[in-house]
Amino acid sequence: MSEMITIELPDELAERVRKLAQGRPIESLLTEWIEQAVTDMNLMSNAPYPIYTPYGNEPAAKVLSDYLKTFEDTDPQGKA
Amino acid sequence: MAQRLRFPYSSIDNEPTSLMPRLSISLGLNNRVVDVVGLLDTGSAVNLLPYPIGVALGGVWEEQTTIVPLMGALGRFEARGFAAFFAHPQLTNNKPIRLVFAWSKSPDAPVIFGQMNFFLEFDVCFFRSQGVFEIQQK
Repeated sequence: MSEMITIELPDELAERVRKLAQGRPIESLLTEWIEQAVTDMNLMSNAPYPIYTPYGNEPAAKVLSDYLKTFEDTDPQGKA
Repeated sequence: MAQRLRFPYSSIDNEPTSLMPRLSISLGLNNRVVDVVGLLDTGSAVNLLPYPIGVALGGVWEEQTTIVPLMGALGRFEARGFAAFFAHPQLTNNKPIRLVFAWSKSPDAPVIFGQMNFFLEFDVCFFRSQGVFEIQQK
């Protein structure tokens, strides 16, 4: 079940969104952005203010920590 | 004992309000070297690398299979785990350090040095009132 919402974008903004969409329907890009924003808000909903920076969070750090361990196990010295 | 080095904050367009702790370093991988300027961001959980830099280092997107979940504005771009070697003539003393990055598909993402794993490898003190920061390898 979905709900249709109509929004009016200023011409310049609509053009910027269209460029970012790179050929995709802008409705799909806007939906993606709204979904991401809602996800972010849900994660921060217990804090009185935003606590995460745009560049990562605990799950991201855990993923990269595990990724780093794969090198330490197989190629500790590594080659630059 | 590792050497403690002091670097100045740098600004964009000489605007004093844009003074930030940025570091110029070389990133290397498989005999390719790219010079980058990265922001030391203690508020970032991860290191961040924009797509073109990873490509310049010889990275092949499809070969990086570790998906890294980013949030905020960059969350709409996919990011994958990517490792490269960090070298600085005085800081790393000819022994490059392996850094892992969230390699973003975004062409405009900044280079960020964050908690995982830049701040695990380097101890940093910020003296914003003096416009300098100090770094020492762990």
